[in-house]
Amino acid sequence: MRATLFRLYFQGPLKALPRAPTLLGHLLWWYRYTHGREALEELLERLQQEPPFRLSSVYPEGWLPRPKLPPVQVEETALRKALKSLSLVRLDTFQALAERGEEALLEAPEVLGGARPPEVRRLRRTRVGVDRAAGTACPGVLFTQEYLFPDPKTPHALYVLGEAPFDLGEALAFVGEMGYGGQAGVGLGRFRVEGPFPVDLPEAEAPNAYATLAPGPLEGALYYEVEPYWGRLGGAYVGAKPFKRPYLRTKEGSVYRRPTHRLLEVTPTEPPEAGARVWEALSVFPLGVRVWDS
Amino acid sequence: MKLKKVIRIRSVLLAKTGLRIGMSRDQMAIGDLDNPVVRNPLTDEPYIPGSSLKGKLRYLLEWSLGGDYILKAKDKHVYASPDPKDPVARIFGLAPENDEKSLAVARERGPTRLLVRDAYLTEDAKEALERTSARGGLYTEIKQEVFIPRLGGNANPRTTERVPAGARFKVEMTYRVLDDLDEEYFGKYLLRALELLELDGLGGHISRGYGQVYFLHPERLAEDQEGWPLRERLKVEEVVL
Repeated sequence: MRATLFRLYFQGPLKALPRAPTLLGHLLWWYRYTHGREALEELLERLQQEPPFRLSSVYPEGWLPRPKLPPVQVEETALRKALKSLSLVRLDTFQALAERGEEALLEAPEVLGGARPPEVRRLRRTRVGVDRAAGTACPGVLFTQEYLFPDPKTPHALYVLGEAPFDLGEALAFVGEMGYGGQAGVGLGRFRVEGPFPVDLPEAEAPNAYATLAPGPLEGALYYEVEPYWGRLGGAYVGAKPFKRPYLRTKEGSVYRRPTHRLLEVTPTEPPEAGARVWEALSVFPLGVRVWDS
Repeated sequence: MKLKKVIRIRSVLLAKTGLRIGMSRDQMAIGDLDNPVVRNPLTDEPYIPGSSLKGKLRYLLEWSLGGDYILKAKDKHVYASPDPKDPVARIFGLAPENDEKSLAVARERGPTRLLVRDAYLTEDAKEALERTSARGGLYTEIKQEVFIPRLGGNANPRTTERVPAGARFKVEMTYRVLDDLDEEYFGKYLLRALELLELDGLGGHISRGYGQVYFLHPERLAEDQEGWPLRERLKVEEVVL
C-alpha cells in the first residue's frame, strides 16, 4: 500500500512512543492554537464522516506490529516462548504473515533469533519534592518515574494515509519542538522530523481483512487484543481533573474485516469547560491481510 | 487564548565547581558507589535533567518573591496561587486544586509557559571528561570526603560522585508567549531566576562548594564572557512555527 512516511528522531527521553490517537490530539491542539477554535470544530465535523487522513502509531523504521492472526500451534517450548514474546516484525516478515498467516513466523529471523528491533533503554529515576521553607527534601514527596531513551540516531516511522487538511510536516515539527506526551515541561518527548516521503507498506495481494497500525474501535474487530484506556485531557484542558471518560479499544496489530473508523465521545462527567465535548478518533490504519478462517 | 510566539533560549552551562545531581539505584553490586550521579542510559554520560534545572529556577524565584510562596507551601509542596496572573504559576505551571474556583483560575491562567530540556554534555566537554576515568568515574570524579565525629575524632569516609569543574552542558529552554503579560514576565522573572541560579547553585551539596554554574553564549568565545550581563550570554530567538 502506498502511504506517506515521516521520520521522527527522538532528542531525549519520553514516557512512551507516540500512539495514533494521542498524536492526533497533539496535532489538533496545534491546529486550534494556529487556526482558531472554529476551524478546529469544522475539522472535527469532517472527522465524524470518512476521515480525510489516518495516522499510524510510531514504530522503529523497518518494523511493524505483529498482526493478531489465528495462532500457529507449536509444542516445542523455546519456539513457543519466542513466538509469544514477539510484538514487532520486520516489513518482509509482515508481508509473509499477511499472505500465509502465522505459519510464516516459524522461519522468520525474529523468531529464530537473528533479528531484534532497535533497543529502547529505560531509566528509573527517584525524585523528591523540595520543602520551600527548609530547602531540603520534602517529607512524603518521594516518587519514582520511568523514562524511555530511544537512540537519537534511530529513525522512528509515522505513516499517514490520505491527505491531511493542513501542513502535517509543520504541525509535527511544532509537536516535536514542544514535546510529545507527559512531562513536556521538563523536556520529555522532543523529536526532530524528516519528511514527507512516499513509502510502500507490505500487504497481502488479495486481502480479505485488515491489520491496523493504530488503536481501533471494538466494532468490526475480527482478531484483536483489547486494552482499557483512560486518556488525559491535553492542551489548555490540563488541570486538576485531567481524565477523559475511560473506554475499551483494540491494540495495534488487531485485525478487522474492513477499515473501520469511529469518533468516540469521551467527555468526562464534568466537562473541562461549559459546553466542551471531548472526542477520541479511533481510525483503523489498514494493511491488507489474508485470513484463513472458516 | 492563542499562542502568539515561542521564544527559545540556548546557552552553555559551565560547571564552575563540581556538579552533583544524584539518582538512586534499583540494584547495587558489591563495591558499587552508593551516591551515583544521574546518567543517560544510552551513553552512560551524566546529564542535567530538565526537571532539576526547572525545579531549582522555580524554587529560587519563589524565595526571591517570598511571602506566601514560602509560608503557605508547607503542606502542599508548592504554593497554589489564586491569582491567574501569578508569575510563578504562569511560568512554571501548577496543578490546580480540585474545586470550581481553582479550575476557573487554571483556565484563565492557561498552560505552563516554560519548557526546560534535559542538558547534555557538549562535544568538547565529553572529550575533556574522557580523561577523568583515571580519577575513578566515567566522565565524573569520585570525591572522597570524611566525616569527623566531634568526640573521638576517628574519620568516617564517604564517597560521592560528581561531574568535575569545567564541564559544559548544552542548555535549551522554550518559553511560550500567549499574551503581553508573558512577554513582560520573561524579562522580569525568568531572566531573574537564571541570574539567581548563578548566585546560588545547582544540584546537591551547594553549601560545600558544589554546583556553582555560569551561563555562556553558545556561539561566542568563553574566555571573553566573564563578567558579561546574563542577557548577553544567552542566545534568545523566536521560533518560526
